[in-house]
Amino acid sequence: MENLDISQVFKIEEKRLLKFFERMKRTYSDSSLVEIVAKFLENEAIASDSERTREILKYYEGKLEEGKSLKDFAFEWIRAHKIFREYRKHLNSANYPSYEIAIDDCIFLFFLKYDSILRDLFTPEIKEFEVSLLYDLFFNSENLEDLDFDFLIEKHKVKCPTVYEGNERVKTRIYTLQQGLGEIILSEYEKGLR
Amino acid sequence: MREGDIILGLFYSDENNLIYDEIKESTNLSEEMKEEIKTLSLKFMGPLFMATASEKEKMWRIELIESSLSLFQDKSFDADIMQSFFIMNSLKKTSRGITLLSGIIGSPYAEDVKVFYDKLDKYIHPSINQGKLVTESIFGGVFNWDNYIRHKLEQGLEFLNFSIGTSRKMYWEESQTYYCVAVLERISEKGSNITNLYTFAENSELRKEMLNYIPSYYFLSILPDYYEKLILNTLKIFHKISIFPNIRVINLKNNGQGLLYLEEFLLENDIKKSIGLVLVPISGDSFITEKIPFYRKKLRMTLDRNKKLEEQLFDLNADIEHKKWSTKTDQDLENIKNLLDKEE
Repeated sequence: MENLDISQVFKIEEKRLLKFFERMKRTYSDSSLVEIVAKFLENEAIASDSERTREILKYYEGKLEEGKSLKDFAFEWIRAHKIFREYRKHLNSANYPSYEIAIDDCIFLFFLKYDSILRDLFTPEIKEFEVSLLYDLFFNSENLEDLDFDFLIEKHKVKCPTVYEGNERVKTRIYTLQQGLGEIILSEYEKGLR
Repeated sequence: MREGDIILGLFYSDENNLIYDEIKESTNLSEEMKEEIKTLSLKFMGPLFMATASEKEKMWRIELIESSLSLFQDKSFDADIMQSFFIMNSLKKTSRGITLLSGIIGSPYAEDVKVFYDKLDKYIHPSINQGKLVTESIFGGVFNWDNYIRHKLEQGLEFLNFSIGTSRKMYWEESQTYYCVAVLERISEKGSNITNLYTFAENSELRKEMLNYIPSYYFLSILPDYYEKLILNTLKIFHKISIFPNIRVINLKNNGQGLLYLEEFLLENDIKKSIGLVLVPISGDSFITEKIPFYRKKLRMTLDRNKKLEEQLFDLNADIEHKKWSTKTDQDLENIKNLLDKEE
């Protein structure tokens, strides 16, 4: 674990991706941004160009911070994919004595920093359940097409409320990470034990 | 590794100053020692409360204390296998007040202290606070705080336990430059301890100016003695009687400001001599600053070559005077408070 250079895990080839994205925009100039980004993600082997992918893109498009676009969202999805591969490799080799330690250590090593990067994409008004849902979508190893999106939204609304004290929103990002990723890491951990 | 080769403890103080603790202990402790363990939390958190309740409205907190461990000469055959001992403190301000989480770790390895501190401060402590807020908002009056905090502390302890044995890395602080504000000379011989403080003259403007960068001269003059004694007693409680602690580093923080206490020691003919430096990261042309390796080298040369401390003060900071401020008696400590900590 200690030989892993965590800073490398978060790097993506932004220049190459940007060039490729611009080319796709020119190729599909008659398509909407959602359609272009869906095709882009399919080309990068991140998600298929399907109704489900477009549904997710449309859902989060309205929550993006000013100056950010679906292209940036797609880049973060690509970064998430890279982190997903590295975290799974690490989880399988780490020999955690319990799933609780696996969850705590993986969140600390991989997802705490990624959470800061991801939240920069969105407005401060994004709800905690929407972030926790995004973790489920990005890091769930099950096929995206098999997930019931509406059910997931409701599930995360219950798991991850946004808490206010008076008018002030309380920061609960660690809690959100634990709720969003706990079951996923547990499932991967159990797979590794078999 | 034997189960008893690790000492692990987490102490949490909530907004109402109620303290909870979770300690990994070996199985064959006497009743008297178990009672001592129960008092550990208050002993470790005591100076934190003192610092946060300071009249000067300064919120200094002790972030980290690192100690090396040495073998008593006559105990080499039943040596305890332990290399490092450190204390970490994390303080968080919430809308309801301040919460504190302290961790004590004694390990058979030379640990990467920063990793443990980051785990405590950036993960375990916020996890406790945030989980409490969210769970309370969902369950309201049904929420059982006692069960919750005990479970979280146990989980945190297991998480830290898993990290024991990681490799040591260089800290970023080693490249930072510091200004030497004071020097502490501590001599321990056959149960008798003497500590002398060297700093700026009492009528010097520097002395007054440095009060903006430190908690107080009084607090600093008693800090290493307090913690070294506390660590020694803690080791005894856990049956680690063949080793004794030597403070290496104490990190303090006050909002954005930092303070580093660095110490080296020498044991010769049953006399232990320690020299420690109070360092602050000031920048500016009027301050001559150096990096940590420079100070460590100066300390080692002074001790190993048996040089007189007074002769080294010029190299550490030419403005520090040769006057010794003793801390032996209550009157000595009052003098430090009244003469060095005065603001006018």
